[in-house]
Amino acid sequence: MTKMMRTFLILLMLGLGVVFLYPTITWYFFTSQEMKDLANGSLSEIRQWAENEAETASEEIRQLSQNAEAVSAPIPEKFGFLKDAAKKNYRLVDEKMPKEWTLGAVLNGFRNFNEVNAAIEDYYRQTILDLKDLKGRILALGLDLSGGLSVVLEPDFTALEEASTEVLSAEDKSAALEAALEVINNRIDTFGVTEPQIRRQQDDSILIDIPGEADPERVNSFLMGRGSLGFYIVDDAGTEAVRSYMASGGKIVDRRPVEDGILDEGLVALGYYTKDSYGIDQFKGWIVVPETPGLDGSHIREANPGTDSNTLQPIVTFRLDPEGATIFQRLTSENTQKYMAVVLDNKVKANALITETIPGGSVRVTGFNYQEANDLAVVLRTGSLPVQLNVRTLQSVGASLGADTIQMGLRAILIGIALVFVFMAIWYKGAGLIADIALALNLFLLTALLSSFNFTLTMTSIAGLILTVGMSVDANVIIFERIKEELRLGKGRAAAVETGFKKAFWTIMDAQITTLIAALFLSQLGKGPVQGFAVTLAWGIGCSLFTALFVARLLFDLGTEGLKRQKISIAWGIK
Amino acid sequence: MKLFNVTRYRVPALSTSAALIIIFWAYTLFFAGGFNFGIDFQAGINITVDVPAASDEEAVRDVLSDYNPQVQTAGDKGGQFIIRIADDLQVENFQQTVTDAVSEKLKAEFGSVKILSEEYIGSSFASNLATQTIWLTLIALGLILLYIWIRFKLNYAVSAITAVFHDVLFLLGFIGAFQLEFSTATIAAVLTIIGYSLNDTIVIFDRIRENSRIVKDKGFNEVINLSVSQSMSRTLITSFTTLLAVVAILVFASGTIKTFALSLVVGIVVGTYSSIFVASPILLAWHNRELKKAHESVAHVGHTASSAAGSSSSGSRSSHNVPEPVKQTAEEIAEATERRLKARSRKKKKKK
Repeated sequence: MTKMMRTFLILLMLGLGVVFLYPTITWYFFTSQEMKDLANGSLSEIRQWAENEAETASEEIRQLSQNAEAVSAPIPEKFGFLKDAAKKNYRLVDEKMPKEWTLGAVLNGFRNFNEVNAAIEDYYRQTILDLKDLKGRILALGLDLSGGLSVVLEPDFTALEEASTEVLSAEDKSAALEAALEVINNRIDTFGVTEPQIRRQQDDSILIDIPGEADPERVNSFLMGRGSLGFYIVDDAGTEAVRSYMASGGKIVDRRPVEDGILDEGLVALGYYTKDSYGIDQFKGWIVVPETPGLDGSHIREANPGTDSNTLQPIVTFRLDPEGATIFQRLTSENTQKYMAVVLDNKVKANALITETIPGGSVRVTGFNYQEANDLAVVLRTGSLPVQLNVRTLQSVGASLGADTIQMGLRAILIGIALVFVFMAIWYKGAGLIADIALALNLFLLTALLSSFNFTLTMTSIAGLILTVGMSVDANVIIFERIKEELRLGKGRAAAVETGFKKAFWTIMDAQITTLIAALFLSQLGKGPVQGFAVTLAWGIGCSLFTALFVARLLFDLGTEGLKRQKISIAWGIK
Repeated sequence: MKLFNVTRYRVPALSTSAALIIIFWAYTLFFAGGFNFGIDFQAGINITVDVPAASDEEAVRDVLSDYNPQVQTAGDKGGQFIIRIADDLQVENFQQTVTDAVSEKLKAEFGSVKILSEEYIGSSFASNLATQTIWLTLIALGLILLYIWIRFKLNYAVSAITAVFHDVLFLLGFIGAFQLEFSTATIAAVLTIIGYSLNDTIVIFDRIRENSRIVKDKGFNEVINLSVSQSMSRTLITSFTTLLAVVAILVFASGTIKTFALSLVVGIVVGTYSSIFVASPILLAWHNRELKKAHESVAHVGHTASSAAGSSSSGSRSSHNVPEPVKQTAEEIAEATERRLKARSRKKKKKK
């Protein structure tokens, strides 16, 4: 290969590196925290934000359009994006484009303000969606660096097997697992600001990653659904007290009124929510119930919506296990003519009057319309997981701890690299600088490669990175030592470099390939941190082979032929 | 170039290694009560808490005595502790129950409690990981053995792998004896050291192979000494640069990663040592044994073979069919090497 070709190839790699790294750099250095949070958010949140932004912006434009001076002035910079939408509209109606894009000209491209508003909303939404897309192409930070919660759940089918009369087939298990996945999805969506990742893994375990969330007790809220659903007898006096307290501007924190004396000990105030037409919870009022449920949801076997054959009223029928049936019978007999609240995750989902004692464990709840009956059935279904899930592994890291770790890690890596750089430059003089360039390029290419496949950087992969630095220098050292030997034999620069590289080639290959075998096997170890370490190391070896054998060689050759150097600066004793 | 006569020290070197490994392992198994397995291998929970009011580890341990926890101070800010509680499968919903209990008990005793991080590994995962690791390591070693066998020869491969076993045994012994936590990071360290040590060994073996083709007038032990000496500066510089990077982590990082870095430091030192003082002597021993066998079979036939072998060397009488180690001084070999190299370079110059 000619030197031109080799230079070209390296420049190509550099260019590719820049392309790969561009999203990462844009994300970490040129994106505001607010935008990052939005891009991390769920789609409905993005819609909300875009709507709000569009409303403000179109209001501003409306104001401007009242002003004759502003209308004839060029459109303000921040609304420049409207030009594109206007242009498209002009083209659609085959109208001549205006010479100058004044605010008036742009607005002429739209039929009415609603269209302007839609265009603005579109723009804002697209901005965030693009950012979300960008996020998929960056070097992500692992939970240990950015903070967050990661849980792996494994299903335990024994309870399900005991409950059913037949032997569970693989399909049954799979279906139960899918249903459980859906339940978890529902629950996490209700409280998350950031978008969680919920995945079913190959071995049927469920992986949940919630970035930014660090409270391990939160796991209860979506995992212990069997416990968090319950039937409560409503405390009417308490409910009345809380209602009047709230009407006079009271405040409820942690399920209790801020002021003492409003509620007796052992009672809690819960919000009563019903779903609106968008399926979003609407607050109805406060309901006071005892802290412990009369019957907790673990006793529910199944729940079905239906119609009463006599009254044609919608009902929800749920079946309890034998123990639950006994408890429920006692509960209803003691509390006839009182209200019963069905509570899920500290939210009252249904509130119905108990008219009579309910025996037998098959409970029909009336007093709902069809929609409510369906909802209740769903609540009860999602309230208890179809299959018992146990925590296999859990990792939660507070965001501040993560920040400390990454700072420390970055400091360690920078100091490590700096030491190696300085040492190489001192020990090998000019050649050391070439090695330093190769090393810098190696790190650059490695980060670019890792970001290209959206690699998640953890503390151990930073360790892998540091080790790569140490070991990638090895290839250079082997070559330089060979070149020195050739020089001692009295060879000139060109010949020494030529033989040095040639003799070192297979030594380096053999040495690195064995390390690569170890690294590849390591990457098969199923757990995140070790895998991260191995992947970094494996790619690091690849990159270092390229930079040490190819890039460093080119730099030497360029020095020999381009700069007409006869001598080589490689050690203190040799000239 | 200074010539190092490393093969002379093979007996003390190998026995020191063996003694240290035995001492480490004996201490680990009989006095320390086995390895200090982290939660990766032993089901349980690791909770890092911030309890400003707690004075020391003892105070935290007392509050949680029901669970028989291990408590360690975390960081240097004070008030931060790592609490480790093993999952003995007696408690249902271990993760939730224990997390709640820990935070409640600490709250009752010290007021403010913040859970900074938490890690839980269930029992099924813990046992999986251990067996998986051992198998993967053995398969990886098998593949490496195969690779070296193909690229070199079987005796090289076996010597290199023996050196690797030496390193792994030493490193694990060290980790056990000093009761460093045995975690997935330890596996990463061990596998890294396997790669690193092999790397080191192979660079030297590569030189030995090359020299044994060029140098015809010397015994195999001299070839080894020459090769080790030739690659000595490379060995030291590479170990030094890698150590620079790893020591930086050891000094500036904290937590698991610090233990990881410490294992790497020990591993790099041992790996470097083993490629010089363990791998090469084993290769030599193997060679000598083969040679002896060859000799014995030749002795039956007659003396022709040995005279034929001896005729090739002119100056030095010690041809490579002498099984005993070192009969020359280091200077003599160095001089011979210098002479040969000079003669070679003169020849090359003449050609030009």
